[in-house]
Amino acid sequence: MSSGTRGAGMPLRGDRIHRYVTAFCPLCHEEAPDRPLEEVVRLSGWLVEREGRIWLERGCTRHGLVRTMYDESPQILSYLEEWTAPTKVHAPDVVGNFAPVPAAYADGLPEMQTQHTCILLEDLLDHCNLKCPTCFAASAPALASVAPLSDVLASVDARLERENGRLDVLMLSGGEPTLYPHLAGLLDEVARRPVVRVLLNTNGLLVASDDELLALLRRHRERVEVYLQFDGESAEASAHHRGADLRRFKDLALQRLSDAEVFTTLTMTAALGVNDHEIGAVLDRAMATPYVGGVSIQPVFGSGRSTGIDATDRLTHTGVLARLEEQTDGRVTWRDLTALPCSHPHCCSVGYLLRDDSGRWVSLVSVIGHDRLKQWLDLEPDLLANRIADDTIPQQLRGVVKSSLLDLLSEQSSLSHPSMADIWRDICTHCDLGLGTLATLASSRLPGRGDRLRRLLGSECCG
Amino acid sequence: MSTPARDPRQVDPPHATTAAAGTPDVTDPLRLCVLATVSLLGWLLGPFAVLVFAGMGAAGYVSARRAGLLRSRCKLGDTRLVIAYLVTVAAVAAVFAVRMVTG
Repeated sequence: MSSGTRGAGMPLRGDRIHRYVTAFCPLCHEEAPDRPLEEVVRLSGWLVEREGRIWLERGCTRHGLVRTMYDESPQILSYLEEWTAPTKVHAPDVVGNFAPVPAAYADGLPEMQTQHTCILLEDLLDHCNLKCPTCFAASAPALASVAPLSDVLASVDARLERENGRLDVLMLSGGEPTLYPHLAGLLDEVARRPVVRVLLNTNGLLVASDDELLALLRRHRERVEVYLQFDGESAEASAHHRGADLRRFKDLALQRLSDAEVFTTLTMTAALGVNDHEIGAVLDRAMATPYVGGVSIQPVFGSGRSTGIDATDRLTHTGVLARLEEQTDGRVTWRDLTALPCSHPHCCSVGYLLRDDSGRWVSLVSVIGHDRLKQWLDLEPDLLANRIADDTIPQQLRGVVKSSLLDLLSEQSSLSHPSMADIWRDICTHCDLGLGTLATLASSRLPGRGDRLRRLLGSECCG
Repeated sequence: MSTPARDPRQVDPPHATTAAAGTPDVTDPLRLCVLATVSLLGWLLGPFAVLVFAGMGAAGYVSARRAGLLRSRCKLGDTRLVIAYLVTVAAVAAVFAVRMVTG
């Protein structure tokens, strides 16, 4: 402007940068999904808040600016980012593998991986007794490949070696792992190894009818926990995700697992407009059923076989959290959960509920308090340092509780994890939570303590 | 040939246009206003208006040709043809203007 006239200036973009990220182009991927990983181009991108949502935008040289919805609630996403914790060391599969993501993963865990193997997932077979419209593994009855038992055990042993002789969780999946012909032998072999917990992912059809399978699970129930696919209480949800109304099989499987005192987590695949309104109902079922120790709510994503998702309007992690309060009449809110501190805070959140002596469900976060919990997790080192002099909690005691909480709030933990007894005892006795019965039993030295604690956890806790 | 539909995930980057500050990005139909005004003058002034505009046009094109403009966006193309056309129009207008004045 040579005349010197002052213009109106640049208008606002209409968004607010949340953070800068490295991203990939979904349109390029859809054009050639099988391209070699080293040919996948890493793009500059950002997460932006616009119109009350978080969007992922990246610049692609071929497709221009590509925008997809990242998460539904900026407020909850920012809250989750407050919860991070020191990470554990991992052993790369190839030392010196500093190739960029995603090509680096062609050779196993690379040097720049930031998470050790807190859960080892073993796909035992791709055969399944269902052909669900929603299946990220695209399993089906017609598929027949089965992993040899020796290969599975070799994989477990290799990971045990990398993990310094201890695996916290081994998750068995597929296909339908209850159809694995060597399941009994596998569980026996795993029982001889330093694997703390075994999670079995199942659709429950066989559990509902096979007494031999149920007996196997009961025999291993001190170590084995069932992740039961459970999409809600409506026929519509079952038909959408599973292709038929399977509710009577689910109910029967759940009842049989509960009667057998096998800890079970209800695993819900949730989709916008299908069953996102049934999250509260699944929580209610979990809280009402003995030995259901947890609920895992997983927003559907587009991999494998699915009916497709709208990349600009879908159910997300924070969307699930946002729906909790309304669907549970305020009994559970997103503030009762925290991000998994050991994981990326956007990926996963966790919360524990306990039934107090009056029968009321309360969350671990609410009884301890956010600020206190953060202090114990050393998430605010400056604040903690400033409080050391006047803190009434002895240093040693704080250390005990902190380590317990780190275990509790990590992906490796499950409600029936053997260390849970110590965790609950630490929390109950050191934090004066008013959970008298739990504290008494948890710290009990009486014979049969383990069984009594199991029964207590089975009826009083939900994670 | 139609352009293939763009994927809804592809969006326009947030560029600012020069007129973007506070003004909506729509076409200004100024040319239609000009044409209406010219028609009004033609209706009111008759051959005098034609004489004036044709004369101005011819003078403008002579000046532009001397400055190096050999082709015009006008349908006639060559600026010599445009000048000839405008001079002819001006001449005819002058004849009718004289007739109008003399009676």
